[in-house]
Amino acid sequence: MGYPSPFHERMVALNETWKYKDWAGIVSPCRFIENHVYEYTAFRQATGLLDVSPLYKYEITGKDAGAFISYVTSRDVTKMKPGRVTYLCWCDDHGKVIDDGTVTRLDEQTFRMTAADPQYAWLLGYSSGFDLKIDDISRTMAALALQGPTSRDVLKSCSDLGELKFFGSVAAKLAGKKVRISRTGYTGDLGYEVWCDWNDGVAVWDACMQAGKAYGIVAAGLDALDMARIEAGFILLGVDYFSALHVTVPEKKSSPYEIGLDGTVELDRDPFVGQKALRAAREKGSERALVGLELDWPELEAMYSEHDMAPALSSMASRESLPIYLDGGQVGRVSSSSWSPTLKKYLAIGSVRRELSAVGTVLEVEHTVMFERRTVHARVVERPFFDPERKRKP
Amino acid sequence: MKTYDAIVIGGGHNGLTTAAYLAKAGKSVLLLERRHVLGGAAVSEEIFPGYTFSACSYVVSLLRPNVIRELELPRFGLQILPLETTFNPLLDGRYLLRGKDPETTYRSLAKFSKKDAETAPLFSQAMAELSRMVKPIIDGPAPDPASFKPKDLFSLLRLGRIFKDAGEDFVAAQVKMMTMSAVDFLSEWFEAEQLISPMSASGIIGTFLGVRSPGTAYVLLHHYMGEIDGSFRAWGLPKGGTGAISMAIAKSAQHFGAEIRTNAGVSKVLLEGDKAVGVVLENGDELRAKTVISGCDPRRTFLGFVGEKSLDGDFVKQIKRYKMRGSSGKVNLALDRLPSFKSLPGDGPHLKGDITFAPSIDFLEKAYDDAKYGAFSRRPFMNIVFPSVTDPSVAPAGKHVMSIFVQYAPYHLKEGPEAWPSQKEAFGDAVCNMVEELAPGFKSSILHRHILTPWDLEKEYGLTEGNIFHGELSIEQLAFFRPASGFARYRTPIRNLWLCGSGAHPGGGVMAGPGWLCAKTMLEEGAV
Amino acid sequence: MSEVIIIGAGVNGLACAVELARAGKKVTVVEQRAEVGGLSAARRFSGFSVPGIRHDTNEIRPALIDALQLAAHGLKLAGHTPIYAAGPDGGLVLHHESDDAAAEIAKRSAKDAEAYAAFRRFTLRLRPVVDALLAKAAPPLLPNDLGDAYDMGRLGLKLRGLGRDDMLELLRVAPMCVADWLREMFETEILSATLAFPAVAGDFVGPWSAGTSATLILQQALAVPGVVGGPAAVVDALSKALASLGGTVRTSAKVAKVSLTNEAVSGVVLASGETLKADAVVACCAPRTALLDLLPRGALGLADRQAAQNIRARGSVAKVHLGLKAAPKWSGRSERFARVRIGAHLDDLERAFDAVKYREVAEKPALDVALFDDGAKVAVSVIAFGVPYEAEDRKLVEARVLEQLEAHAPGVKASVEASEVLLPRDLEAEYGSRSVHHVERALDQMLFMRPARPFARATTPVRGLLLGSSGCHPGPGVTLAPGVIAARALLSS
Repeated sequence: MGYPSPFHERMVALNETWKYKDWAGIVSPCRFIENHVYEYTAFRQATGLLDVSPLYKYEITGKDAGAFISYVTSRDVTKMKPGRVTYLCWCDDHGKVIDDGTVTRLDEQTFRMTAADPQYAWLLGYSSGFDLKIDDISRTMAALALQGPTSRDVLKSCSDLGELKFFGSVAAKLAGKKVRISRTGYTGDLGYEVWCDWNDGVAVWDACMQAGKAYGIVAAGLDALDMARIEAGFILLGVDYFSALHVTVPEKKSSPYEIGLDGTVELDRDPFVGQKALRAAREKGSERALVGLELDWPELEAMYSEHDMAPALSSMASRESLPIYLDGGQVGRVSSSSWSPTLKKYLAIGSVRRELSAVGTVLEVEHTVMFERRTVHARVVERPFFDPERKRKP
Repeated sequence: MKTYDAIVIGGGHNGLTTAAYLAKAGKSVLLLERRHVLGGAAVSEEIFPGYTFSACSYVVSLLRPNVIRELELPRFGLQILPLETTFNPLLDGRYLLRGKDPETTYRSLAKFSKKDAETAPLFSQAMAELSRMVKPIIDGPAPDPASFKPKDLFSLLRLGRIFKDAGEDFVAAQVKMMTMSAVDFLSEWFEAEQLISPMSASGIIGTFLGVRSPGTAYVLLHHYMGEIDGSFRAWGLPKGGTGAISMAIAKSAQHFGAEIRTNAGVSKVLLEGDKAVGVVLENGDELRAKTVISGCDPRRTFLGFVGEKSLDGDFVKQIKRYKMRGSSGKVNLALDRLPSFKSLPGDGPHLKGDITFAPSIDFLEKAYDDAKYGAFSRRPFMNIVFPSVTDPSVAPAGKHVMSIFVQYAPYHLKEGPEAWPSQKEAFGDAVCNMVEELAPGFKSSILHRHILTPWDLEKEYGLTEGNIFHGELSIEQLAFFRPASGFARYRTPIRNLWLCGSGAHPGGGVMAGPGWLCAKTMLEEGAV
Repeated sequence: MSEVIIIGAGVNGLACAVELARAGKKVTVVEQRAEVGGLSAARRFSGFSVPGIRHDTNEIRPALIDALQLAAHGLKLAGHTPIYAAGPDGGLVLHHESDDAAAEIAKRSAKDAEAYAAFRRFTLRLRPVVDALLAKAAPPLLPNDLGDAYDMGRLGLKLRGLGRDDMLELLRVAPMCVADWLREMFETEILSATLAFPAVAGDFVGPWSAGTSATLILQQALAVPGVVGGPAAVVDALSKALASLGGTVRTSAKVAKVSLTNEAVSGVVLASGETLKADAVVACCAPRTALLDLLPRGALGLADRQAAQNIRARGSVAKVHLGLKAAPKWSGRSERFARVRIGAHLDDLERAFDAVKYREVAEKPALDVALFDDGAKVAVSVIAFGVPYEAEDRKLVEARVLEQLEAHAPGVKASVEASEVLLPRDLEAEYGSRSVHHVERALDQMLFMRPARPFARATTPVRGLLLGSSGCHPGPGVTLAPGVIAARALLSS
């Protein structure tokens, strides 16, 4: 039985498709109109408005809050300034990733953490001996993402938002409600996330929609988000990697170095969960690496034209796991793939043997044409695939 | 006179299973049942006109999927309906509802502990993992650790390898499960008593133990076993009552050529020297067979059908001290309408599932204390189902049947087991009063009441001391000790006499494991 | 020369220190109390003296007395003390050895006299196995190397050497509850109840709890005559032995933290702030304390810490010490007894546990009483089973204990001159563990699972930290074994 989002009424009123899916127990629209590319386009050309309330959220308060988060996650957050956000991951004692998310420092003793999976029990498990309080605010705090080149204009016209740097976070007033705005997102574009009380959700939604009219705001669903996040090269828990808490097969667990989170691990500091194993993993070097792949389009076209067809590729991002081969042997798997309407390329995120992860390496990815399994060449390229300057620009 | 390849004593589900497997292998098989109806304790009976009850055993949990496949039971009418949910009413007017879907379960648990709500799926995952590794032990005959025979050493090695492959974590977890109390084990995972208490209750069903008694954690594992068996949802209600399982096995057995006689009680096993050669019926008829297989409990089989005189003294001692203290009773009711629970009034999915009333650990322990000192629980633990909600064929339109499994009802009352007939109604009242407390107005909906005490289970269904598992499922009575050391592989000290009931490995419950493994062993060893 | 710090100067801490000092290690024992001995230190109150929290030494390993050369420091084995089981019709005097016991038991039941002899023979046949188990760290769950495989093989042979019948009987009986097993053997209830007492007291179990037979077997197979002078004499001999080897003991020195450098133990920090350096630390205090309170954050991984948190040590006994003006006169008996048990029926023990379950003080606690008669006054040490950790009312516990004594020895109440009550919470405050066993005895907290799997075999996941208390294999009682096993584990590493 699904749980309604704080924006449920508004989203149901707009949703012409009746397509919803379960995101963390909350009924979430896949798309509002049949052509989700329209919603995707808003992310890249105007503003897409996306409900991200289903994210799990925790508020950690107390003298040891910073020390605690630094202890359980991959980063030392004690050095963070209030009003800053950081992206990080956390691992089990064996250095295998459990989840990834952001941590925002509100003030000296208050942090907020987001997660894809419920982490309350896990956090509690490590909290003894720390002077702090962990509140699960997952279902009391709503979150609304405004992503796209005009998102700043939308927010400036409906709130008291001033200048906000990339990965900054600030308290603000929106529709008369106390909110917090952070310059973060999952689309890889200029974008913001508005955090407010669950019960203020509708007012905040309405104000954004009203203000957004002038800037081409469009309510967007998860299908559009999936395309955007693949272009941005972001990984997704449960698709591109699996939580070490939830899988029993060791091969399905990943170290941060195997899923491209190298940059989030600050290794040389006070002891933290998994440090020993991560050190060993870094020294040894991981066997696998996460790569961005670009499929050879002319080759795809040729394969289809053998059957007198135009390339019949879905406009939806795919989460199907596909084998990656080299010289007839399997060397990895694709975990997410999507057509990029912006780049006009077919992109994929996958995991391959580390020695094959250098940019420029050419591999083969399975592709089925007319019920026949074939392979198409794919080249390792830099991630993110799409990285507009406006994302970071002041 | 015809000499059968095998005579099976007792038409319970295990006896029927053995008969079916032997018949399927081309043997001539005769099965004898004392009562007018087949099924033993897995029986459906129309106790009141229009109302069919699974009189004793009432849910299926571990019915071996290979038995369902190999005996083609669906073809002979077996249909298992899912038990959707587990509903736990509490005394303070709150409740816990689990199993409908992950989100509902999460929210229901989160009312008591968010930590537990998040831990629950991890617990299930760990249990399923453990069950996966335990499965080979259940699906094979018991090993004999004290034997030097190559075959036994080999099976020990096989077990050793299972352990070795699984690693120390598994062995340690296994030791914990086998030896800890359900409450202690669950407390390592959970904090909310409202959750620990009903979960731990599954560890005491059919045992003479309390939830704090060491050794009760093991039974928890059984709940997760079904998940990995390829059988969707471990728990279910057989359409037409539990007897429908027995009937499907019986039809399968007949299809494969077995002969089945009801109203044919056996009085003894016919011996020639140290060899079983047939049986004598209660009416004096003698029937001959190359092998005799008893589906009855070990005590009845050896001390009843064979007799002490024909057995070695040490073996008799083992059978006598084999513990089979019955601890549970059953109250079957015909209802005019469904009850409305105070904590969750009205109709709803919670009435479609299993209702476990185990509101707190102290409550369960106090119920157990009554039994320890020789009385039935004044405020009992109950496991309730309304089979008519999912299977309307068992009651007249609009009416319902209610099955209440009750613990504790110790066979050995302070006043002696023969005092049960005089306490039977009081026992029934205690149960109905307990339900009334949870669902006011319930008592006025009762049309008929049928009470089964351990005494009745013994007298009517032939379960010695009313033990529903043919012997307590305590560690020292499992595996190579079940029912006696040296005779844990379905063989008995009497040549050509075999044991295929729940008193043999892997034990009780409607799982057909002993029946299947007994037939398998006999066929493999060319004993029949 | 490397330095070792031992936390806790109980018998295990001292035994560990002696063994290490003998091997040439420089050892310092730090003790939070003002005197050495821990639970075994004599206790004085209002002019009386009792042996301490423990009053038995009949589990001491003679082989370890020899190994630590304690005889040279005055330790002598004593004779068995018969136990008087108070009860109706003059109760029952239980001698340890079957010949002496037979005559007494036969007065009640000739069958039981024989059964008791058979029971003693059975437990004695197990002694080689138990001795093999106790001499070394618990065997591993699965052999890790050739040495392990050899050890396990030897143990396996010892087990198989028992013969098929004994081995099967051991496997059958160990997981049983003592009530079932004892009643299988004996028809005299008071005999069963008296034998059951040590298998349940102090743990969170009653005689109906599965697995208590294993505890009884262990206890019976271990039983030796004990030493002259009781636990205090053991403490004294160990202290002298340690002093002669140059070991140091610091009392009134509470450890606040174990310090780590590069993930290995580098010493301890005392509550006073003083830092002591060491290459290894052997914690002979309660394992929970060592693992959860003394180790710095992050020293243990989540799974290991949870395993430590899950160690069960709930406490179910109180100590009551009495100073009597005169020796008690037992109903129906004229003799004086040095050891008495009260709780003539298995149900009495079970009901005592029932109360603990419900966090209440038992109406009738079951008692194990040691009496020290100096000819004039009598000091009495009572282990009262049936007092949960939640108990706060010392007066109530004392009254209930006295009630029980009075019922079997009328006039006791009137002869009380002084008294002292130590509830489980007092034991925790003063001695660092609410459970006198440090870790409950239970099948899942035995052998390679004691105190919990990651910390079995005396070692811990933290380099340089070892455990050597009653909470470790082979378990509680004045055996000296956990301390020596820890010392040997350190020496062989």
